[in-house]
Amino acid sequence: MKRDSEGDSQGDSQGDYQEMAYAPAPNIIKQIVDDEALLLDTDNQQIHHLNEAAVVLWEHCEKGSSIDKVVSDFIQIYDVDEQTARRDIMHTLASWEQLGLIKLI
Amino acid sequence: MNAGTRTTGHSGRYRNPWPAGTRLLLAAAADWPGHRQTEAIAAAAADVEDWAGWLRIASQQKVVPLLYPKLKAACGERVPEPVLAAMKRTSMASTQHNLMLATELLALLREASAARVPMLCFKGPVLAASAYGNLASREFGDLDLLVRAADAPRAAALLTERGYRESTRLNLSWERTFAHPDRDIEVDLHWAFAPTEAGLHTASFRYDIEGLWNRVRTIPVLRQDVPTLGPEDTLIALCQNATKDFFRTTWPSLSWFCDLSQVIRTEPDMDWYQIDHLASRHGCRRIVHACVDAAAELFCLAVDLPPTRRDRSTRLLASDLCHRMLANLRAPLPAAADLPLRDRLRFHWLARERWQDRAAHLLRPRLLLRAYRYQRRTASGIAESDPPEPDRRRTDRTLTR
Repeated sequence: MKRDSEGDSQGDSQGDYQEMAYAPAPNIIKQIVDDEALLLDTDNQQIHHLNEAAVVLWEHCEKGSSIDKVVSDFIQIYDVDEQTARRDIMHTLASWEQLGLIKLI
Repeated sequence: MNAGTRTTGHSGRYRNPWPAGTRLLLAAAADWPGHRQTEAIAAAAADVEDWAGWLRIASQQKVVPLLYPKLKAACGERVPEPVLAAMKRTSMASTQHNLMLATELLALLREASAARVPMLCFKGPVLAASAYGNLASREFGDLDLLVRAADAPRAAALLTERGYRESTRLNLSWERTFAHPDRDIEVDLHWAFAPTEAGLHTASFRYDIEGLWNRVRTIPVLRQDVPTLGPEDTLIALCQNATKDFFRTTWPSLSWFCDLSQVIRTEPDMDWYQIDHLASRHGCRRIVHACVDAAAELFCLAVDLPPTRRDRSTRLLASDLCHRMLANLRAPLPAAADLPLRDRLRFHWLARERWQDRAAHLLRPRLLLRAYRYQRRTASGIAESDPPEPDRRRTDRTLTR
């Protein structure tokens, strides 16, 4: 997933994120269950539960979508304003990165 | 030689007067191509009245994770919301448990490999991955590992070093059971598939275990190759459970029939002539034919087994399996129900096709006595020898609400 600097409330202070992107870490295995998913971290045998919205975000990570694309998708699907969508997305990505589920590429 | 299989789909057998719940269970558990399955599921679901009872049966038969996505896709709007929600919870919990077991399997195989103990896994995660294509569709409660008899003590020592404790209740001559006290994991360590008491093979089979090791293949599980049985041995081992498990109250289960039909459907290179040859050699041809015929009847599978004559006993066995399966699907099974002794004796007598197997079956008072005591103990609720209930260590985290 490409993280753009433009409009990125968390990234603005960090400088230029124009070409930065996230991808699932290689040690993560996804198992879809209905509209939700479980992520297995094979390194530490932890299982993480993704709800429907998190699955949408995860699939964007797999496709390498830009942050703007994800934000516009979330605005359409969940009927939220752009600021809220962008804040939630960045917050979730940050926590996933901290947990080692995704990596900056 | 590959005789192949073909699926006939929704046949006239599904328009018979079976209860709607039974039709729904069978239609959703089958795997038919195209829209036929969707139509059959929707048609049966429209007639179901007691959804709570239906869900209890599906849970007893261990097919909720398999049925949930199909039911929701075909006619989710007709299913009461609490039923769908309960199915989703069960599916999620089952998948989480399966992922945990699969991870543990890979760790055990790595340790066995490091210790130079050849070990393979059958049923469990490998069957889920090979027959269903994922770890979410099949419920499994333990890991079944197979080692050579000579390696069994070393394999048991590996398990003990990893924190497992032996929880074998019966002193069986073909497997030992281990449980981890801190994790919800049970491991069955096999070195044969059937009892071999005092040199007599008391089940229908004296399986050629050494030959089986020559037919081992690998199946990817969580992106790693896991050694397992070849497709022919997998099918025969599944059928062999018929003789081993028939004394159980809830047997045959729909999940067992699903496993069998999925193995038949998803193994394009299945060598049916080799199955026939191996089954004949092991004295289990009758039970293999009966199980395959029963699965074909229940799920409308057309199986091209070699055109050999089915004797009367085979036809009776297949009919018994079908009828008992359908009886189990009509209503939730009572907890303490037991298969009548007459039915058990009839099944085991019919399943044995060689006179020496029948004689061996009759001459096994020790095993019968142990089985009887075990059943008495479990039926009366005595569980002093049971390991303490392990604390379920929750490893899940909800990231987004």
